[in-house]
Amino acid sequence: MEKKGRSQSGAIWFRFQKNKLALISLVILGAIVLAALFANVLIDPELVTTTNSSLRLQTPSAEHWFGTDLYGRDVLARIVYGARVSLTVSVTAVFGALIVGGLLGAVAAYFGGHVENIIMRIMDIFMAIPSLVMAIAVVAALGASTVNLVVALIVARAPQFARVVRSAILPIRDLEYVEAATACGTSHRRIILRHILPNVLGPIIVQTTLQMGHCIIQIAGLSFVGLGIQPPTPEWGSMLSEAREYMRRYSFLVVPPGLAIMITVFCFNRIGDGLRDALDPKLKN
Amino acid sequence: MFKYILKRLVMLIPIILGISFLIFFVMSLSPGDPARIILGEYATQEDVEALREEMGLNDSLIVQYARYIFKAIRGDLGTSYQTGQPVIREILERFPFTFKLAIGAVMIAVVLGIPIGIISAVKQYSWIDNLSMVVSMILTSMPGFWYGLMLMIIFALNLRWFPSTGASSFKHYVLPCITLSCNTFALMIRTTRSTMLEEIRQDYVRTAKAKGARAMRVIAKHSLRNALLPVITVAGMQFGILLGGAVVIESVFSIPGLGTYVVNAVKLKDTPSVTAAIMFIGVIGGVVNLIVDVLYTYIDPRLKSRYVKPKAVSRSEKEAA
Repeated sequence: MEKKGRSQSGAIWFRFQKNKLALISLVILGAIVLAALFANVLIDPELVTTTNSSLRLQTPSAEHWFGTDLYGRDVLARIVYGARVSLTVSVTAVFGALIVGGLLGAVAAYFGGHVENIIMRIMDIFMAIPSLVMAIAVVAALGASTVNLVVALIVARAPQFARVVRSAILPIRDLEYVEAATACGTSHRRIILRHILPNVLGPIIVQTTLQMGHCIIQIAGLSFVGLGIQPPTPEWGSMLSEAREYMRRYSFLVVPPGLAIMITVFCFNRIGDGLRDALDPKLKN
Repeated sequence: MFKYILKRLVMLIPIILGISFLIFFVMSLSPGDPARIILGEYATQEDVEALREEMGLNDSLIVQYARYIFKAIRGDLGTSYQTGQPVIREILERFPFTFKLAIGAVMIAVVLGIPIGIISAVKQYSWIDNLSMVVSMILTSMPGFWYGLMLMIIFALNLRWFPSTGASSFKHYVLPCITLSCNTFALMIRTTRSTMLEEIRQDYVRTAKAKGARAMRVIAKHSLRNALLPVITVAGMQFGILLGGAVVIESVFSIPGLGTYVVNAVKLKDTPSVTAAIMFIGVIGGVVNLIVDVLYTYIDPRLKSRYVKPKAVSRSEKEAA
């Protein structure tokens, strides 16, 4: 371990900050989150939805850094508000999937036997379907809206959490301290929540961070084909779908939303990698 | 070995049933009444009720599903609400486009990704290694459809090397395949690199070198064979994911494959088409995964011995004990 006197979280932070790329990503992501949180302070909400035909399709200028779109709306403003939409939807979906999948995985691993078999076989079937296809199936059944998109993403992502949580708990389940807790008459709920969960937090945190990136890409992809967040809500994927129509002459509109997605996802992935190394130094290379 | 393959094929049946039931169940949650959709808004309630009875919509979900599957085995996946055509014919017409796209993407990823991964591992921390790591980090962070749009702007609209949309010639597939392969390509580089790094550090490599084998020979003859096994599995597993990813990429390049078909059918609320097409993608993906799994066991002697000659293994296990 590290030097004496450093708490566990201090030791994790010490290892994390040695990974410069992850540290930079954390700073950039922090800025993106702040911009999304305070979007209405930074930028007049009117700019996002008000259409103005005299301003349509302007090239980038000092006034409109990224230009204006087909309806004369400022692209930068829509990107910043789009961050809000993308982050809210992906955070909700990933945490939803974490709760649903994590509970299923925990129950499967803890109780074992038939319970485990049934849960994991059902999860296998879910996993056999590509997550994007699963999400499309749910949207197809429920209709395209933001709430249904979240539901679709939870259904598509929960099995992955179930698998990660289960495989993290399996080696711990039979350890002596769990046996001791059982012998003391501790309830299942308390053993799972107090004794087992804190010990498997590492892989769960890493998985959650990495899933955020995948989720943002899927939200954008579904919105791009018109099955996700519906216009006029500013969303990066649907902005790209609009920009695509005028790509031949106004290619500058295609660049900013894609860059926004890429930078955000890149940050999540690098932070996830950094956390993986920091939380479990044994895994590194 | 034959017995093992047969066993795996039998195991495929519950997975196919599971996938199809899951999708059937999800699709049955849609709020609209199919009989009402077919007959239109102005049909009388009696007519709707009669059609519901005729279509078997009043039966339980399990019964409906069983009927669907028995029809599906005979090649009847229902009729599209939109075109009135048998869904199976529409799917089979469109699937070749998606299939070519996915195969092309896997090929690009394998043919380019594996050599780059090998070089990165052999020359760890060299500029090639660093560059390929940065490229793969960027590629995995990029949404595929945006990558496709950028390629289109550069190579189709500005340089005019390739056509921007359609699927009528080989040239039409170049940009879509590159686009679809972006994630898999990055994954291939990383997987090959990490498995190669592991193999290079093995004792047998040192032994071979000590015996005077040239570095290239050790890499090509010894390490590569072992390192490629997991890579092949990953490539195969990607195929199903690529079929799913094609849904978005097809609509970027207006390729008339299964992806654009699903998206249109969803927008038109054409439930029989959506159910069948999604089931088709899910089942094909599942089947390919299984085939890869079987192949893997066949290629890897360590695993093969476990299944092909169970007696030999149990004897050695006894000795070990």
